[in-house]
Amino acid sequence: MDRPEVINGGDATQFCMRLLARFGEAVGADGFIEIEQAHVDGCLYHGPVSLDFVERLLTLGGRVKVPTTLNVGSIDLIHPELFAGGEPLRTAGTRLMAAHEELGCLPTFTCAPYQTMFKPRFGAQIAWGESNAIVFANSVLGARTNRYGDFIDLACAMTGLAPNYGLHIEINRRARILVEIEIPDEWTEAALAAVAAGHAIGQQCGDMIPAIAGLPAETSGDDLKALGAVAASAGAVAMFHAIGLTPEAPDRRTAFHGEEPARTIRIDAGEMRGIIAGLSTVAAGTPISAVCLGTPHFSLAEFERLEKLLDEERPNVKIFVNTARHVTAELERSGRMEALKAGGVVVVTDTCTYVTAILRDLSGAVMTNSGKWAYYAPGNLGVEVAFGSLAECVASARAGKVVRS
Amino acid sequence: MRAGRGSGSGSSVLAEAIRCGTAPSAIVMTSRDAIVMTGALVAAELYGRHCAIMLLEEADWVIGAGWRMAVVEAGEGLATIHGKNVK
Repeated sequence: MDRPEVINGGDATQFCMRLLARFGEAVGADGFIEIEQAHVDGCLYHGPVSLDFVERLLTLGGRVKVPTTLNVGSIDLIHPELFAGGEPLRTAGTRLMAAHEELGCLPTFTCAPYQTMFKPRFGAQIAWGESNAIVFANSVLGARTNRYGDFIDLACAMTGLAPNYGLHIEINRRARILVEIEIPDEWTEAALAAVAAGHAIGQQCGDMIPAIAGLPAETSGDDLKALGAVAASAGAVAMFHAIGLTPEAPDRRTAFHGEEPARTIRIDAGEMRGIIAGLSTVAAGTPISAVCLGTPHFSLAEFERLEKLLDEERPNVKIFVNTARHVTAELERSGRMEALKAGGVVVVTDTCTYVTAILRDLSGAVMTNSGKWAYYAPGNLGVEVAFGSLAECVASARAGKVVRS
Repeated sequence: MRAGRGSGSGSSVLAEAIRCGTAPSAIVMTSRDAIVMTGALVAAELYGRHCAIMLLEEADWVIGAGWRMAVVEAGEGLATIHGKNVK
């Protein structure tokens, strides 16, 4: 496979091109394409190698070649007092975030770059890391990326190129599996259906692209965000179609490029209820020590929904909400932050409560409305988890225990 | 192992293990795995420490999986693997 001439390459670019060329061979790419932007998930500290890689690129004089957003780090740089981990991690984690900025990356520190001003347009060729963001970009925005992992996402940003394979190519974006869902009558919001459908496709579809039929017309972008996040956690999903909702699936025929589905899966109401019930490790009535929201990062619209549920009485347990710094800035600017704090909300910026030490009290169960948080936190933090709707989470915070509506 | 599991942070985990000296000397697979390969390449570039990544046909892999010990000789492009104390 030809390695392209990299003009004004510099040593850092050559270093990254070497890596990318071998990677391209390994995935069967037939060449390289130019990308418009990148999203790099390199700011979570996995050990000295995380920092050594970036420091090497800086030593070689490297700078990213395309607009590059950054995923969450290990530290909330806006509220560093929230970090409850050890000093070595604080120092290394902070340096890792700063080193990426020195390479020219934008300090967005969010797992939801699609909610920022850098959200890609339909059809854009991009190189993104972070599984939930990859799924959202492909599925909801119609941009094109593969699941780029550590080192490779940054190598693409440093060269402005991505290997031409997988979802960069039109025919590979075709739906192959039809997933028909039946929504339980008592579910009045689309949110639960989205999480249940996402979990199901993650578990059952492998790497074959599903087209989901049956999600209601009022399913929002935030609902699809939650669907993609749990699908990408529970499985290897990089893209899904939601018929009638996502841009490459206005109807079933278009989603399948005119072909018949290779497989059809039906998920009835009973199974949908079972999936949601299975996300909790504890029963109703169990005491909780925290509520965790915002995995992926809360949008301003989600904060509005939360604000409507809060009242003057501060709940017994804290409600932690992860979000991006541009959202935090807007909440501060508009004066909404004060009311949220009075309502018992702790806004966590730049990072996430399941990847780093923020929660100090892990004695009780933790309640969440995030399928992704429910999936990862027991293993990462060793906590019991209760999954519920946003309204159930707020009611449970007030009661100090899991309450169901 | 025949194949990796597809998690993007697998590259960091492998590279870190190679840096620490706790990684295996070689990883023998039946399919190309970009994540495993990336981890090994980064460790080689940064630290000059090597973990050979080998690709075998299924039939050969099955034979190798039955060995108690193996010796791997690896150069730039080609590696050979011999069984020791074969059952």
